[in-house]
Amino acid sequence: MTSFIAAVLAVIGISVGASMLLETQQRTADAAYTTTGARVDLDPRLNGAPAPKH
Amino acid sequence: MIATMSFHRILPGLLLIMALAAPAAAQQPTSVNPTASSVKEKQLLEALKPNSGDTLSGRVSIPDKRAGDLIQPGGTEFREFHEKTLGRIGIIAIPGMLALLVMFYFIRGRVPIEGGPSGQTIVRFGWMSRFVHWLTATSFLALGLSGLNLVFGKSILLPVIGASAFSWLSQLGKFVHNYVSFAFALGIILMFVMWVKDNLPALRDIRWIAQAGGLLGIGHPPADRFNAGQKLMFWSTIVGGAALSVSGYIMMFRPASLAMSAFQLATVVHGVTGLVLVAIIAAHIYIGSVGMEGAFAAMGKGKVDLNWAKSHHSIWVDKVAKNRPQDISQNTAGGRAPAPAE
Repeated sequence: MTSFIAAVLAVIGISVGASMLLETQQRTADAAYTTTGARVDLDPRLNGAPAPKH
Repeated sequence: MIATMSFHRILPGLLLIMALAAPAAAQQPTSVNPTASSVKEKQLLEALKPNSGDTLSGRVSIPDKRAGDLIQPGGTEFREFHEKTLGRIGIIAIPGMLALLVMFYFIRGRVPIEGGPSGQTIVRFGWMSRFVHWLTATSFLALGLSGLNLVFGKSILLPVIGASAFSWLSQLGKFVHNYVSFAFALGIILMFVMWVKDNLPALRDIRWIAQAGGLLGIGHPPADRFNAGQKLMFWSTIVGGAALSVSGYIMMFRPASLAMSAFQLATVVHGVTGLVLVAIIAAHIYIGSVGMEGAFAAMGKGKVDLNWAKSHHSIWVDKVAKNRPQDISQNTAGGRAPAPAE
């Protein structure tokens, strides 16, 4: 039983770890698929618009 | 009369125009003019055909060069396979296997321990082996369910739970499918390293297969740590798991240089292998739980009844008795005396 619980926890841990690692490596489509010449703003998601207030 | 006279007056002029126009017509190129309205679509496609590759592509200045792909002729066949054939394979493989298992259960019933439980146990799998088994099993369950949703969800789940819930579930399933795959791939590698030595084919496997593991003939055929059936399961899992992992990561991290047809091939391999492996694992779950008395204990507690072990793995029991007698417990449960090993 402990081996089963440990395995479930390991699956969750590995999956969360993989998602966090890939998050640092991946770029959003608007950054990856446009040239700097097409970007009005440094942040391509804003494209010149004011940043939304959180 | 008037018309005849007029024709006679303009005839020299017409001859002069024709004489001047003839050299100009001779200068027209004989090849296809791509801007002419009379050019057929097929001719244009021929002109766009690259020397190599499988797409008709234009040129783009954005970083994603694949955005320049205009037409990929193989895509029609791929869509046909993805939308229709893959689903048919799944319908044959999975409900087909479940029907076979139900039929087998009603014909054969639960396979009992030969000679009944002995009350003595033998260590079958250590903690690490069980951990790796459950790591692979639980991750495959998550991958299988989220993958089946991709193939059948739209026709089965969507009408039942509605568009909003289905959208939310499918989005969640996509993330689960992508990230849980790393645990599954790790499990496949660890399983291969741990158990490959005991899963190499042996001559005695032929006898096991000929007797269908004891279903045909008298008594159980002798087997070492893993019998031929378990070896088939092991290699199905390793080969299928490797094919799923490789094709899955090609789809996930698609290299920019990869041709569209190679990507589609990876999708086909992934879909077909996934469906077939789900069907095979369904049989594994059946035989490891309700289908055979005493089998689940191997991965549950790591210890199995000695009579069960002697029936299914007589050679292995002899080896354990000789080399690691401490792995065999004393009779504490008041069960029947263990049957002699074959």
